Amino acid sequence: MPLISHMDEMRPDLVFAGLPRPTIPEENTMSIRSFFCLGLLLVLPVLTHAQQAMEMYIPIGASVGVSNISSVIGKVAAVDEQNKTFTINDASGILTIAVPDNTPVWLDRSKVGDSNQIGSTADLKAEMTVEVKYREATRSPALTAEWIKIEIPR
Amino acid sequence: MNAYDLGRWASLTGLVILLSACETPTPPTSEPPPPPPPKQVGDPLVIKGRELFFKETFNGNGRTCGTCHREDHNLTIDAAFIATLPKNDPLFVAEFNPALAKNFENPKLMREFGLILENQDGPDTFNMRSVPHVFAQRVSIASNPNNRFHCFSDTQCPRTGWSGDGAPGTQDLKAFATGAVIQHFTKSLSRVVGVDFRLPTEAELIAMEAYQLSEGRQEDLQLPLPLKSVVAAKGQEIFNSPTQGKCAFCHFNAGANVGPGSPLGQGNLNFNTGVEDLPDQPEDLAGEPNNKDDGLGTPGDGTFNTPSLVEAADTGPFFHNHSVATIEGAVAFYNGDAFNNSPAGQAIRGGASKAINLDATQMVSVAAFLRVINALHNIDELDDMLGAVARNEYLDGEHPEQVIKRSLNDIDDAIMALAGGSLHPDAVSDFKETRALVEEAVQYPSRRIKLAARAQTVIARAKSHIVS
Ligand code: HEC
Ligand code: HEC
Repeated sequence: MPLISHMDEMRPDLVFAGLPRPTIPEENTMSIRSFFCLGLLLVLPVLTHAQQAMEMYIPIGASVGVSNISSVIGKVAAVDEQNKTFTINDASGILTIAVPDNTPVWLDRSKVGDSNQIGSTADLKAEMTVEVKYREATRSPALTAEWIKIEIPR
Repeated sequence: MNAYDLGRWASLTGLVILLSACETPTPPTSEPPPPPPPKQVGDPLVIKGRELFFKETFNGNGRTCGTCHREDHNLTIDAAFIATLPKNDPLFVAEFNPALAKNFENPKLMREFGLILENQDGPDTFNMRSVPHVFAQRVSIASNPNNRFHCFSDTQCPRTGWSGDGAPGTQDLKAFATGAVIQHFTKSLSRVVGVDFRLPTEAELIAMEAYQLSEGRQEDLQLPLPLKSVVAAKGQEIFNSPTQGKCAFCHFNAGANVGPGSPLGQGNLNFNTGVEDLPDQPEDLAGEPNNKDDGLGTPGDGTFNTPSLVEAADTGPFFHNHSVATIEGAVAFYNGDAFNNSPAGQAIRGGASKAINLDATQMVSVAAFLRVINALHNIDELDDMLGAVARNEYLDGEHPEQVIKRSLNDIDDAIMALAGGSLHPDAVSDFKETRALVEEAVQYPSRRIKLAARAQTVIARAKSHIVS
């Protein structure tokens, strides 16, 4: 655990900045060190962006603050199952979307007045309208999906 | 009856009449006229947001946000309060709407423990969670953890809900409200937008966010406070001590944030403190299904979001699953195996054999500290309410007639918080005096303004007993 070596350099006065008892006896530096370990315990191997379950019920385009801000909406041009990517034809050109394993895929059936369902990448077909929330901070021609909604047409 | 008797009878009757005249309250004819119409003041956005929060059903099953976050019950709900509600209260939709009879709520756990069903990790699984008060949101949502697990972006990481991931989308209060409508307002488990409910508009979300941000504390306390109770002052010292209570590691200034310079990041962070490992959880005791709640993310990492403690003492039971009923019990939790064997407990153990090891007197004094800061929070709330009534103003759109009634809850909470810990009999008697004044103001609208002003001076005196 390489981070351990940094612990000795940790400044207890910073950790406890603002606490009423600024003098830190030996036992405290111990606890600060182990407190640092907590950081290690909590770091997961992958920095996943999970999302709350209720997202699946929000129709395509209706996620306030997300739709068309950190998502793209368009028609699937082609699906490349082998490379786990698909392309969307967008006004700005072709966007390639990488789909990591376990990316949530939802079937938006609100147009048919039915309950939205959990889908899978196998449901992705050319010509379907999709909304893809991407992980990147800004939009570019190559994006990574965080979740995908597929519209089930009337 | 002879003349003497007659005379005696007459004078006795006269006396009785006289006496009863003394006891009669001021006759209504001499009552001054009711106060003039109150002044509409305040931020229109907050007023709009408050109205939506407590009245808007979003074409759903009849619930509003206020169904669970009660304005007259510290923006939360518990089993004791639930027991006072009529059968047809929309909280109980699962009991009278056949479409919601299964898998929408667990009426037994709702009525016995005040727990609400949340489909945290998808439609096919659920957890039972308590309703957090939504006070002090302004200072208990923003986080900047070093590890970016389940953050919205590199710069934004709002933490809402018990596991910090209660909201879809942008994860902020706006997104949370959308999620809450889908979760709690639906007419059926199909949850079809436009059929089972409507989604809040962006303008509505902005207004509701403004209202929620305006509720409760707008900034964190600055500990240590100059507390007059020696027990509470000792409790504060233990709370802040990095070797004894260690509470300030996570609840800095008794709020929801870590202290500045924390090695894990800043703001309202998540920890696995082992609440899920407590024996005899509500579900277990009631013989109901208990899916282990895995906290933040899907699958979860076992961590839960740190709540603010200033508002805790009068909003029990405690923790995400209402597993502990009393504030003393909640402090004692940190002494037990579930916490001390948890990742967080192990991490702050240091060289000691046990991370947190408090004796009975110490636990009670930490709880006394939490009781006292809660009473101070009640005083702040009361000051806002009574001040508005004394100025004959609406409070965020609420008529003074309602505000004065509602202030009784905070008075009772303050009495409960202090008397329940045998603390500050001086302040308790001031709160009782305040209560009498407020009751009179409720009964006689014409005297409301004056009585509210008087009540305000009495709670100021109560405060002076608690802090210097
Ligand atoms: C049926 C009861 C119920 C209703 C109705 C309800 N809530 Fe809640 N609320 C809860 C529960 C339970 C939680 C804890 C959820 C969790 O842990 O994710 C919660 C949590 C919250 C939180 C997170 C507070 C924090 O400190 O992190 C906010 C904000 C909130 N609700 C706002 C709302 C809004 C806005 C509405 C109306 C649109 C609403 N709630 C309707 C039960 C309810
Ligand atoms: C490692 C971080 C950490 C430390 C240290 C810590 N807490 Fe907590 N506290 C939390 C978290 C996280 C929760 C929510 C846990 C849950 O519900 O699963 C919590 C919840 C609580 C609650 C329940 C609040 C409510 O509204 O239900 C109380 C009371 C409390 N803590 C008091 C204390 C006291 C007193 C101490 C010191 C003896 C302390 N905490 C130390 C992180 C911490």
